[in-house]
Parts: sequence; C-alpha cells; structure tokens
Amino acid sequence: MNETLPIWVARLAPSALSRHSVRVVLWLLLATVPGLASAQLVVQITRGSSAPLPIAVVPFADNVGPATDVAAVVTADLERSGRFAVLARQDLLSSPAPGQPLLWADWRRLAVNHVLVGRVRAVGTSYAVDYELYSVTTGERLLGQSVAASFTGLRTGAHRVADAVYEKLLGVPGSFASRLAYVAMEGRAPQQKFRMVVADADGENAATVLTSAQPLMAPAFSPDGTRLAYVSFEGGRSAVWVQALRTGERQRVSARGGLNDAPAWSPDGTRLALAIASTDGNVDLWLLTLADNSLLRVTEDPAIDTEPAFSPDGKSLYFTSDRGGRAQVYRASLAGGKPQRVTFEGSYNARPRVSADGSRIALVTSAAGGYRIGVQELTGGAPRVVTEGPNDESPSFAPNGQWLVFAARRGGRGVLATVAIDSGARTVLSTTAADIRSPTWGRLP
Amino acid sequence: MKKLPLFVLVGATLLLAGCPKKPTTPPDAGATSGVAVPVQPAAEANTAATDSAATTAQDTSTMTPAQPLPDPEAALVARTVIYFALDSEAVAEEFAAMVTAHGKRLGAGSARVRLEGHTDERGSDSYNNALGLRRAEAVKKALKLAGAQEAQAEAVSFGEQKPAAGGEGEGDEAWAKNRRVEIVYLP
Repeated sequence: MNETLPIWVARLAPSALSRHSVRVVLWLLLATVPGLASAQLVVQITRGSSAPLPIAVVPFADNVGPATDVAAVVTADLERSGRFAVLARQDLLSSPAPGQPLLWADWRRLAVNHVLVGRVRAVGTSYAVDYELYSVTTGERLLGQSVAASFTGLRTGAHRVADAVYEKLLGVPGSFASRLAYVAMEGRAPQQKFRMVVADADGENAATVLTSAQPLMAPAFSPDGTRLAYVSFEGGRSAVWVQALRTGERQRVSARGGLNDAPAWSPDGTRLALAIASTDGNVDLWLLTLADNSLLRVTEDPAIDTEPAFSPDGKSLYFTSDRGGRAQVYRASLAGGKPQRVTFEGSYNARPRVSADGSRIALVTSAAGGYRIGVQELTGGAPRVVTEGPNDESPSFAPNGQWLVFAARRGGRGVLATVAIDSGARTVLSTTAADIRSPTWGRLP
Repeated sequence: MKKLPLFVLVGATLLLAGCPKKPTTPPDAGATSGVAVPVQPAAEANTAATDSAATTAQDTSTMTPAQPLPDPEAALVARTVIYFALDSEAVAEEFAAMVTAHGKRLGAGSARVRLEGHTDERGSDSYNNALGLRRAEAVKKALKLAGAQEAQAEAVSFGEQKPAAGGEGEGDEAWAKNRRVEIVYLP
C-alpha cells in the first residue's frame, strides 16, 4: 500500500521550543471520500510552549452509521491548535453518550479537565450532531448544543463542534470550520501542470477547481467565502480572474499590460486591490470596482508596489514596495497622502497580511539567510519570526486571527504548513506529492 | 566588439533616467464582462505561441558551437537567454552584443518577440513577478536602442513560477539559471 501513497512525514528541525515540544503523528483515514478510502493524510504537530489543556473526546455515538468519525475530527482539530492535549482513545474508561451520567472519579483519575461527549442523529436527509462539554473539576455542563450537518458535510459539522469547544475554553473563536485554497504544481517545466485547490482547513476534502498548463497563483477568498480571485497565466501572460466556487463560473477582471497580479478583496467584497504594470513595466497599486470595472490608482512610484492587503476598516492598503531600495512593507491611505513605511527591521519584509482585528500583520521576512514568516504588531516593533524556514512564503491568517497557513519548502517542494501564532504550535499537512504554493485561508460560505 | 555593448549600457541608463512618467491609466483595459464562461473550465490548452515558448525556453547560451560560425551575427542571435545577477535587472556586458544583434535583426524586419522575465524561487511570489517584469523591460529598452520598434517587443513576467530546464532545486547554481529573460520569437 505504501508505494501507492505519496506520504511524507516532515521532521521539523529542533528549535528553542523543542524542549517543550511533543511530536504527534495522526493518521486519519479518508473514509468519507469515495475512491480515496485508502488515502491517508499525515499531519505532524509540534506543540508550542503553552501548556495544553487536557481534555477527553469520547467517540460520538451514532445510530445512523455515518462514515465520518466525528470525535476523531474534533480530536485532530484540537491537537493541531497546540492548545489541547487530547486523551488517547484507548485510555478511555467509558464512552458515555449525551445525557448519560459521567463517573467523575474515573475522569479525575485520567487527569483530564474537560470531557466532550456527543451523538450523531439522522434528521430527514441530513444529520444533527448533539454535543455536551463538561468540566471535570466542577461537574458543570459548559455546553449542550446541536449543529446541523448535511449528508456530505459531517466533517464540517465536526469542525463546528471543535470551534465551539475552542471558544468556550479559550475565550477566542475557533476557525476549524473554514477553508484553504492553494496551488498544486506537478511536473517539471516546461511540462508543468497547475491546479487550483480548495480544501477544508485540515487539508481534507481537497477539490480541484481549475487546472492549467500555465502558472496559477495568488488565490484570495472573497470575504463571504463564495468566490476566489486569482492570477492565471493562461495564454502566456498574467490576468486576474474571479471564480464563483459553487458554480465554477469565472470571469477575467483585469488583463492590462505586462502584469496583473496579487488580488486582494476589500472587506465589503466590492473591490479588488491589484498590482498592475504601466506601459513601461512599472508596477503600482490600483483599485478595481467589480460592479463597473472602474479603476482607481492608489500608488504612483517608479519602484515596485505590489502585494496589497486591505486593513479591516477598508480605509488603507498595506503593501510591499522597494521604493526605499529594498522590499519593505508600507501603508497607503485610500484617502490619499504619501505611503508610510511600516517595517524597519531586516533587509527584506514583504507580502503583508492583516489580522481580522487589525492589530498585527504577518509577512515574509529575511532571517538566517533564508525567508521566514514574521508577525509584527502594528503598534510598532520588529517582526517576530514564527516559522523555521529556510524558505517560507505566503502567510495567511485564519479567520480568527490565531493561526497562519503558509508554504514551507521541504525536500525541494512546497508543503502546506500552519503555525499557531501565540502558542508556537506548528503543523505540516501533506496530502500529495505536488509542489504546494500560495496557500490562503478563507471563511466557509 | 567592446564599444557597442558599453554604448548600449550607457544609453539604457540614460533612457531609464530620462524616462517620462507614464499615463495615469494602464493600457488596454481588458475586463470581459457578460461573456459566457465555462462552468467547469478545462485545462487551458497551450496556444501555438506558448508551445513555441516552451521549445525556445532552453538555455541556448550553452549551445555555442566549438567551430566558429561563418556569420557572427547569426551566432549571437542563436542565443536567446539573458542571465541576471541577484537582485539586478541590469543587462550584463557579456549579453550586450547578443541583445544588440537581436535588436538590429528586429529593426531590419517585422518580426515580433515576447520577452519573458523570470526570477529565482526566493522571496514572495508577486514581488518576484514585478522583478521579472523589470528584467524583461530592461531587455526591451536595450532592443529598442539597437533598432527594434516598440510594437515589436512585449515584456511579460512569470516570476518564479517557471524555473529553467536544469534550474529546479535549490542552491546558487539553480537560482542563477532561473534569473533570466528569454527572447521568444512569435510566429
């Protein structure tokens, strides 16, 4: 079986965190995907420095025989966050269902603080997932809820349960029920093949939404999660396209001059910030209003201005510019005025992304002879390096602002990786042998 | 042989310095609205132009024959790849004669070329797209100085997306192969 499965398990290099880190390898069967029943997803987790909360996730009882192991999905989500240590299933002393009494002495003996129990019910042609979260310390029921899930969306239902547990116990929303888009490149030039892939935030349910013999790059989800903007080089030159994810319908929105690049959605989803080249090849930032294709210049400088990202209030753009001689991050107010430099430490800071609360930016920063992902508070200071390199690119915040997805290079190819910004927990998701590029994070529609 | 490249370089520098600011709207607004689009887009077929790009995308600079060709201009024009130093869009002196030969040839006829700029894989994707375009534009300026008309050369960039044959992988050698502009004659 192994020779047919392009499985690759990363070994993250030792770091300052390694004394506190625990490596966990989860093998999740893709049993819910027809035809992929034998495929395996390998997730490697390196836990961060914060002490994880011990919790038990009891297998969800079901009388409908769904193929998805909801408790396993919830377990993987919580582990991947680095904030939870989930009791191994074989160590459970009992498997109570919702509404059944819990034997508190047993749970205390297992040294868990919380217990999650649940059940899956068939409701017409869909499912309901009931779940209850208990505090072992007080015996109190902290959550007692039900989420609806479609017949094919039980994994999403499980992610919503994990989101609720994460928020209840940590006080910040989870983003397990969310999506990633990325480009998978296969083959060598000039016989390359590029696929645009949309997948669940855990890498599962990966679906190819576009295939091309020419490069695809820079995907960006619309704020409502229904559309994907991206750059396609079909026809031999770059253009920006917007594709409706439900129907596959796509529209070319910019094909001007030598470069159309780096689409970024305005928070209200009506405009795209783009990097467009003038007739002499100078790249500046423009705002495209999708409703009428009108174009408004934002920057005008002989240097490169590219990789825009809207501030959450929609009033300014953070972007990469080498107007100071080297690539650094700047901020331009859409009301006008000279762009202000934002990064000052290091010889290369590029491709900013702003957290949903507007408090920090993630960027690509030069470090230790390579490129790593940094996070810089917008109150000032230097980027804090949160990844290990040596050539990390394309950071993108999860909707909750707690995690980043990025492209790391391992073994000469790009892989999907995530890092929890505050705990330092890192994961590498690997499902294919393709070279993964340009990951981005978005909401579920 | 030595004077011409220097002249080209100096001229290119002057042109860069004296280049007027460009119009406030980008050229050929290209939005397609209301056009029927495929619901399930299939793989984009390579056009004849991109097929030709693929075949000319090899590093022909290593194909200089051991025996001198009867026509030195033909030998220069046979080379179609210009390599660049790290973080640089300057056309190095060793490529100036070759670029001039292409410019002269274009100026003497009606052929058209696409200049495809590329970078190595380091750094962020879109910044590299802009860097690749800068390189392609630098070659375009040199071609125009040697006689090519504006409409005969189009500068585009693939950034780090299309490494050169033999330029896969990591390390200085691979990266140097990828920092390049390919001159692609259009059919």
